Amino acid sequence: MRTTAMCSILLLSLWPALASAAAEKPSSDEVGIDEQLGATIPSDLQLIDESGQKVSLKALIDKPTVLTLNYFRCAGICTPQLNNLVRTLNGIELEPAKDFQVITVSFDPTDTFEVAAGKRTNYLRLMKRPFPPLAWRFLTGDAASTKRLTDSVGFKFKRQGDAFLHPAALIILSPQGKVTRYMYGITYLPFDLQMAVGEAASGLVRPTISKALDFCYSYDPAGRKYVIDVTRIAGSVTLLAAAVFAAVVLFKGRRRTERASS
Amino acid sequence: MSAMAAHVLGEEPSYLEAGGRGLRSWILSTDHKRIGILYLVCMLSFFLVGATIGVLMRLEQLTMGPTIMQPQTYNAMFTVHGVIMIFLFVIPGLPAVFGNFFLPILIGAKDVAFPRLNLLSWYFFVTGAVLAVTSLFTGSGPPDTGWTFYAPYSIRTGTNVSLAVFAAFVLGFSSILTGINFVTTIHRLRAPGMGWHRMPLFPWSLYATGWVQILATPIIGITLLLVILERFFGIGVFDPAKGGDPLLYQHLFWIYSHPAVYIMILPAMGAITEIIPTFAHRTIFGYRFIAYSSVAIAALGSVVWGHHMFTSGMGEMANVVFSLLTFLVAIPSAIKVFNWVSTLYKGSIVVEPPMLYALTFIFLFSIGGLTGLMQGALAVNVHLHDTYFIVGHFHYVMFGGTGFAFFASLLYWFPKMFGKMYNRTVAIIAWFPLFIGFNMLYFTMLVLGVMGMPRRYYDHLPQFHTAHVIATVGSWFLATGLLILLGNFVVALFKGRKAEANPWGGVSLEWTISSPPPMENFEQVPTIAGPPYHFNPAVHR
Repeated sequence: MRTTAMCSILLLSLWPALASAAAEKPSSDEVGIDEQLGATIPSDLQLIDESGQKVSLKALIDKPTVLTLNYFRCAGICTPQLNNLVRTLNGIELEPAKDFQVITVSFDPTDTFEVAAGKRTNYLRLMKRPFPPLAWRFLTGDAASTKRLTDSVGFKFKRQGDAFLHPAALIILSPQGKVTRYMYGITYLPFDLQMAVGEAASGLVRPTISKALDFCYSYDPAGRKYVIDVTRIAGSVTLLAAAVFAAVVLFKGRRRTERASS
Repeated sequence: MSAMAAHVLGEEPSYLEAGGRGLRSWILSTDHKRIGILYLVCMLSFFLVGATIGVLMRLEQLTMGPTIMQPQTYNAMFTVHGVIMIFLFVIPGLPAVFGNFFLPILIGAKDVAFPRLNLLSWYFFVTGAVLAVTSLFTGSGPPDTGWTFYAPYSIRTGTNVSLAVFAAFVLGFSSILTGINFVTTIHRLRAPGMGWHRMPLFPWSLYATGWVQILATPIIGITLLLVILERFFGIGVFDPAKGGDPLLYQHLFWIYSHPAVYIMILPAMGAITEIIPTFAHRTIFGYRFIAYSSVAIAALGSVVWGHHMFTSGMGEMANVVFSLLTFLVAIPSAIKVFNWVSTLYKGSIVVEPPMLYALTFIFLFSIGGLTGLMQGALAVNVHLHDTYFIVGHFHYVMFGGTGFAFFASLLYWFPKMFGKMYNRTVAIIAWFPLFIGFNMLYFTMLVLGVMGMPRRYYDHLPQFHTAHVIATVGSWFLATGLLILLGNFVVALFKGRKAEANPWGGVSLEWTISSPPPMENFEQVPTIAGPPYHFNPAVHR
């Protein structure tokens, strides 16, 4: 009787969790990014660094941070993504470890700190510029910790057999750990990254630009960059010129200098 | 036209004599008539080059496998054929030649509003043409993108696309300046008494065309400039690898290039509207309908560009809207055709060469227009897209339409322009191989397209072989007809008998002055007292 009661209480207490798990099932099936712009990563998160020591993620993030979420056995897009990131980092003018840093976190709980350390060595070797090891951290962690991190930035992945299905993106964090920008895909232009880091430094979630600039430069969501809006400017100028021309020919009317013959 | 102008009886020297005979007197002349002739000479030369390339492409299709050229050569051939024919012949064609020559005369003016700007546009035209030709022989091979320069291929190909694109950019300036000039001329220089509704219909069509030139041409200019910037600096507006949008290129290209189709056809329609009443000896039927349908075509034609992109992944909604608009633009075109036919009804029709070619225009243009409607239907378009059907269709419109209107205009106005009469029998004889060859060539293309023959392939499968042979033989007839027709003009220039002031019995202003016209067109500016195309039955029947 006592056992039955205990089981019932346990079941009841678990019920909301089970129910919410069932309700969230469709969304947890999705792989992708559910943008959490403006959200802050959990402050008490503990991860493992390359030497096996526990570190507080919040304490690590004291400057604009480029966060990538990968797993180290990944046979898919992680390697090209990080390779391209190296190429992009080579091209930006900011000072690593001073102006910004990169943190790569593995969401696979079976990844060890030794593998993480090896990865860091490999990627830093690809760098064509001096890049202090502390400016690119490769962190691992237990399933619960890394899940809290991925959830807090809206990064949705799914285990499939031995591998994971997951999106690829750079997540830009402000020095306070606030999500300020997502850069999707696996290739990034140095200019874009520089811009994003600059915005993160001042904690801007969305770029504030003056109205005049807003007209000339528009944000191209598919290309994820600022483009000068040539078509709009040229179109306005052309239409204005044509309107002035139409007004002139209409209002000036016919030339009167010609003398009519009888 | 009840013009009370005194007939000039040849006392005054003609524009051919006044001002000198040397080369300098031509290439520095600001006389609208001489500039018209300059355009005519350039354009006919380019037309012959384009036509030769066309005949060579047909020869390649005579047998299966490589016949006279390799695939890359064929790619360059269809690109160059398109660029030359479109940018150097059909688009500037009627406005630059006959518009320049006859617009001021038809509205009773002594010249266009900006004569020096007019000469400048000719220089832009020649510069553009020279650049286009240079692009064929310099750099790493002639462009191979097709005349549409579609991105991203036009950005990546190693061939000489930048120069060809820049040539088209310069040609655009020529077009814009001509448009501004004509619109201003029509607003400012009409003869006293010539209200908008007393203006002949060729000027009306040039007016509508002028606005399209002014509004649409800058778009292609900027687009082509972006292609060049993209090629040299990799700015990434159109290149998907850099986050650009190739569909944006197609939109921008067709926002100009579809209205450009109306730049090509509207003046042709205008010229046909001048010819038909003269040879039917009857006033034009539905003057205002024809005048305003030109404006309607120009307006509606500016919002149908998306029908070139039905299979490009533009989106369902856009496809449906553009399809609907495409059907709408057929209405003003049909209004014109019905009005021409109604003008003929109960007229005293005389089939002189200009009339024969004008009637052929109506026939061929109708086929071109109706096959265009077929492609405007979304489901049919999926099947016909990028096949020979498209090639056949636009040749019916561009060549059967604008081309034949160009020939009809030349036959109609040649005696006035040069003061010489060509051999009318030879002009009619030339019509037979032209008409037969044209339909053998292009109607066969329509059939080939429905069968599934893709365009821009240098080779074909066995099931298309017979039709390809028919088309190629047709191209020989067509070329023969062209040579007879143009040869006839050349002979007439040197040996033709002197033309009268009014050989066809026309009633518009150009027939009231001597042939060739005097330097200043009119000794006294005429005063217009009534509507145009007023035929006096007592005189004209």
